[in-house]
Amino acid sequence: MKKAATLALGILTSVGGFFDVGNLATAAQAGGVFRLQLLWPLLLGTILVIFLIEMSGRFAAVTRQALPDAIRTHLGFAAWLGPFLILSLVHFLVLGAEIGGICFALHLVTGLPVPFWALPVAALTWLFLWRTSFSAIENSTSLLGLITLAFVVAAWQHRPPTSQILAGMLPTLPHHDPARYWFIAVSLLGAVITPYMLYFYSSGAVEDKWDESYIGVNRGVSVIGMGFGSLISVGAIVVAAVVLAPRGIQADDYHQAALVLTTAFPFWGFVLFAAAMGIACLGAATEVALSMAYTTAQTYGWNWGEDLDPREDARFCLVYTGAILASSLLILFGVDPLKLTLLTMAVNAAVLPFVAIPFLLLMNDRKLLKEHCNGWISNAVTLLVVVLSIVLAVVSIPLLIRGGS
Amino acid sequence: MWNIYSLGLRPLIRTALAAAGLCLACSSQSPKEKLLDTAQTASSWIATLRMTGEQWGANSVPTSFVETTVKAARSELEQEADEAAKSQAPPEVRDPFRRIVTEARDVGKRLSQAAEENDRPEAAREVGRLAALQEQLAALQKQNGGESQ
Repeated sequence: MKKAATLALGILTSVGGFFDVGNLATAAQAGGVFRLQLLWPLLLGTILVIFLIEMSGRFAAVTRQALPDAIRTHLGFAAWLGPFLILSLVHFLVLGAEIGGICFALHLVTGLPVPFWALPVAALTWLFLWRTSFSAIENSTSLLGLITLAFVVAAWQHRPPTSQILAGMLPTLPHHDPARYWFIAVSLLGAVITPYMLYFYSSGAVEDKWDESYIGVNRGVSVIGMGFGSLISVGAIVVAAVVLAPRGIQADDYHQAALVLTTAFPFWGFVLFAAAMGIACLGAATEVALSMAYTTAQTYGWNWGEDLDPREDARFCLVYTGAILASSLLILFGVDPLKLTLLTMAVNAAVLPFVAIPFLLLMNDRKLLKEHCNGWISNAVTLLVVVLSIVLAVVSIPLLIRGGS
Repeated sequence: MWNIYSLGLRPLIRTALAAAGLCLACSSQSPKEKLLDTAQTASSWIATLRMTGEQWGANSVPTSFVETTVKAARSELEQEADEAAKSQAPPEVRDPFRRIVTEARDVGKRLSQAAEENDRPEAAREVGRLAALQEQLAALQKQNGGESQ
């Protein structure tokens, strides 16, 4: 029974981590500009992230250590410091983008300016983390996050041609606007393979006291959880392709994306979009803030744990408090949430080598993982992630200049 | 100590850097091509205004959404009109483009006012005008070899 309940961890990571503001923005752009042609980066990213999540859970279950903790312990503080600083910057930007997403959802509903909501949203996110336990965050976000299934239902209602969906699953060259095509493809991958998700997942597994008996459950969680998230993203691309693209709407702004559900659900579609965006971003914001606190605390060897009393891990709580406040200032001072999101997704892609390479080394450490070391399939997939991430790292910034709108 | 080079990734990095350089090198566009790219964005915003008006007419979006979307669209269209004014593109492309964009901004403003006053027949008329402007822009793009969706 307890192990069945751990499936909720996978759902949380899917809804809060997989389907977040980055997925929403990139999926709406992909469908709006290239219809169903860019389903393949999502499929590729999903396969890769299933392997990475499975590995991070397996690692935590066998070693009882979260990833940053293990990287620092086994590869040394000096080797980890550079990646840690870069990842902290990424965490900060992603958190800003997620807070921006919640603010935009509230802007849609109330009509009040996005910056108006920055501090109230920061306070709400902080309060949610301060007052609730890890399992409460897990359960509430995963249940409320089911609203994002509206994208799947809408996609189903529009009856998209199956042959075009299947064709979109195979990589093809763009018919027009190649720089934009590759930029969105990179951003989709950056939105799917988010570094914070791996750190959050492994730290969550330690919080949930996983041991080797959870390895089978972990596999199920990775596949079901990530599959669930991916299905929602596919739904978002399909509705954008069916609703926005034929009208010539490219979804360069969240106001444009907000129209995607209005044809499938007259009257409720707009509200559903705002609610789905707000909830998915709130789930992701709590994950990112926690991931930042986990990573920092594990890097410096501090006490950490969402279930501990704040007096027992004051520095851990201080990190997420400071991170939420600092990230919300980006939105308060008028940074455009969509532009911040697109920048963040490209940066996400650029920092993947810092995540994937140490991860690959650890997953092959026989002293640590014994018989649970990576097999050849997992190694091949991780190597693919390494190669892909280096290519993405080098091309993402020029593509941001050339292809980003 | 391991590093990125000891893993044999140097050739891959070189290739990726070359691809990135090529990507940047290919980014030079003629003024006309740049304007046609801008026209694509303008067309997207005109379509957004049109759909927003239609959905407001069908009670699918609130009046506040019409107002904020029109504000965002007008700001974007104004930027595009300014870019067009500075563009070195041939006048036979630039001038009609500027006219369409400026007109779309005005229609957007009237749409917002109609929504605020709950004047549905007027909002429907503005939606019709936006449809006409969208068609004119698509025709202009097509005549000049640009992409229209």
